[in-house]
Amino acid sequence: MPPLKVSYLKNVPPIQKELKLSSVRFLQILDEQGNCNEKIKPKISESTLREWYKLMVLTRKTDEKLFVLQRQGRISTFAQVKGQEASQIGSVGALQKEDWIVQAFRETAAMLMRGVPPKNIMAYYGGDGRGSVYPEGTNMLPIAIPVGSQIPHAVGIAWGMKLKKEKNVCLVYFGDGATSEGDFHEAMNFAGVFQLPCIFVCQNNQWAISVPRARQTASASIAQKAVAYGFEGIQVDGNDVFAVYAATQQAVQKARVGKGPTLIECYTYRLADHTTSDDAKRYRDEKEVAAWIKKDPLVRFKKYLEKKKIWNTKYEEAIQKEIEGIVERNVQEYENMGVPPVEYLFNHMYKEMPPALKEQLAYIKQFERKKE
Amino acid sequence: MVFVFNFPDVGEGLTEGTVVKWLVKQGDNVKKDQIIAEIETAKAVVEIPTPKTGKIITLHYKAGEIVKVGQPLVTIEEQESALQKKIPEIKTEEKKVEKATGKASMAEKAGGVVGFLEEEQKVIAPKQKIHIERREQGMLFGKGKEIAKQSIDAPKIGFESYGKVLQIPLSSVRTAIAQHLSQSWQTIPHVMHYDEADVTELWNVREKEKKVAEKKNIKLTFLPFIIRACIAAFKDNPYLNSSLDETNRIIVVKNYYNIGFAVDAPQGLLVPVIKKADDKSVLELAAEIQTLAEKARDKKLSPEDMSGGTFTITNIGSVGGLAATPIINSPEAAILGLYRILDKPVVRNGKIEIRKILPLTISFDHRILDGAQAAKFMNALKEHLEDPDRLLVDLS
Repeated sequence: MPPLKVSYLKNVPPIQKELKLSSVRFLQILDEQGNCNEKIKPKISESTLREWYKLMVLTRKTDEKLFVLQRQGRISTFAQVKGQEASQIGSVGALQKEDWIVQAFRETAAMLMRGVPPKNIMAYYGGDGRGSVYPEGTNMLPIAIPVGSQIPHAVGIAWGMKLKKEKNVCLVYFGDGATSEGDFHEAMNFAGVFQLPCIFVCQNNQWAISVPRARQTASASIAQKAVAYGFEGIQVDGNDVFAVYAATQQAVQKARVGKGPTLIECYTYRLADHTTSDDAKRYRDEKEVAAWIKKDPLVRFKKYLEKKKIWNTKYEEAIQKEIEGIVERNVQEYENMGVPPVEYLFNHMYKEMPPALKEQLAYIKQFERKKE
Repeated sequence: MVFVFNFPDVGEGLTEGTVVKWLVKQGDNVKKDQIIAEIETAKAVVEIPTPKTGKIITLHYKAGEIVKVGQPLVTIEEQESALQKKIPEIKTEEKKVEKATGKASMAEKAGGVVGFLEEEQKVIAPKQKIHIERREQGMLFGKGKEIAKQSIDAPKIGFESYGKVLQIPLSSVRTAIAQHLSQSWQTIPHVMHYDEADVTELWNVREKEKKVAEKKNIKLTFLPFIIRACIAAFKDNPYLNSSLDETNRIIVVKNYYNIGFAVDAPQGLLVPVIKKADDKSVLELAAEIQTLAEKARDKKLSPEDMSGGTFTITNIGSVGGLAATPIINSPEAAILGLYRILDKPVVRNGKIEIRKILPLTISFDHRILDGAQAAKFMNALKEHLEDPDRLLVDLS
């Protein structure tokens, strides 16, 4: 998709009361009822809209299937993405293939959009390292579980791009919880000082496991933290795929011409538990969850597409069936992968295996069953 | 085709869950991924979806019962779906396997389970056939490793095919005993040293003092005397009252004597501990033994009552047997076993006499102690038991 003109950000709608904002701008284009502010909506082709919708459904279905597989003991702990699909699809949509994505651990939609097959996600959470081997040219780092640890990695990649005088950008995902980590501060500061082509996308889903957003920071918004590091921050409705796309598009264009980083706070909500080991009912008010279900990004986007006569029940049935087939096929492919060789535990940490690891590998090899 | 769904670890490192309720009953038809049960774990109440479409044959637990991770939760008579039939064939290089099993299954071809499979065949041939069949049908989910594990575990649930069985869930006490004793037996190299003590004199003392004690409502058994004799014997043999700290390569010799004694409580074996036993007289020990044993039988022992032991005594004499091989109460260094006192003919001063003989065993940790040290301890113990005057000094 060619870069868009970004004048629409000058006409942002008035700040919403419920979002307690500070000096940073807030952007919403598509509201909960699927009403679109056409004046500021970026131009997106119908085929792209269909693709995005299909990706949202694929993400939802994959997410649901992963959950069931976990409850059946077929994969281990994983984090559901339900509710954050628009934040990821809108932001990946603004990137080119050559750009890099650095993920945390809830980026199922971003992975699928980048072409990582569902079976890779299943394998990763099934404890198989081969799940992190993405198709050639995916330009996406593997899942990073330690909170915030991936943000400096992204800044490193962006710095490399700048040193090599490339026109690419690096986009990194993290949550509201990560903004309280030292890694976040160091990465933001570095990116600001060196004016790196890095786009920081904070998916503020209101809860860092059981820590609510109000306890995460005394700042009125997460986006305003960018001001302290000397670059722009913007808060967007993270359940509005157009707003996320528009903000990311602007940030990408800026980064490509050497004007440095941007922090985008996607104001969204985690509709599921933190992970399959969590029970959010213990700390979250059901009324709060119910209110956010009404803002579901998938439902909102569907309403818009219906108004535009792109979506109807027949279309829905067709893609549901197609996607169900894709997901089931991936489950089978995952379960037919077999066990990875023991070397897999050792091979990918260092370019050259250190002596201690070599020794451990030789030791563990003794216990491998002999094939006759 | 029968499929057994084992309760998975639905959290991180869970070991068990309690069935809150079943949403299906025996005979119901279920569809793949349909929620069949709610199970409460240490983390949350979770809904469990069935991995297979078919008819419910057995719900292995009732609501309220505890299910351990890895144990059968539900058995399903499977209905093959179109998708399952269409599993793509994967080319194999394991030609020999095909010979061995007649026809290599899907899972084997995917690699990784060949070794397991052959081993299984040797050990559990009749059962294994079922698993092979299931694999050929592509019925078992999971990767090679999981399939192999399930198959190895599976014979546990096959007892019913030979006759009626009763399935008793392990109680929490039984579970704790099982874990603790397995750990002791597997980590400590045990040696058992056997001897006999002539306790005729002690028998007479106890008969006499028993009446005095009764007036104070104290039941005087041999145990307090034996505890005192042990403590006396520890003085020259301190390693019997020690622990091994393997990580730091230290033997920790304790200068305090907290003596545990095994109680056969209704819920299982419990070991209450008498703290600072060396500061207590025979009568004080007798009173405390009585109190702790009653608490054990009334399920009133606190964790505090059972912790901090340095040495344990187990007495099977009241039930019977000549000797046994008691397992050390880890991390202690040894355990003393007492058996039934018998009238035995012994040679004393060139004549045969009938004497009261107490069989004794000491099981010791050979990492800490050698046989000679254990024998010296036993000799010292015998000396004190055979000459009760030395113990009587403390009797108040």
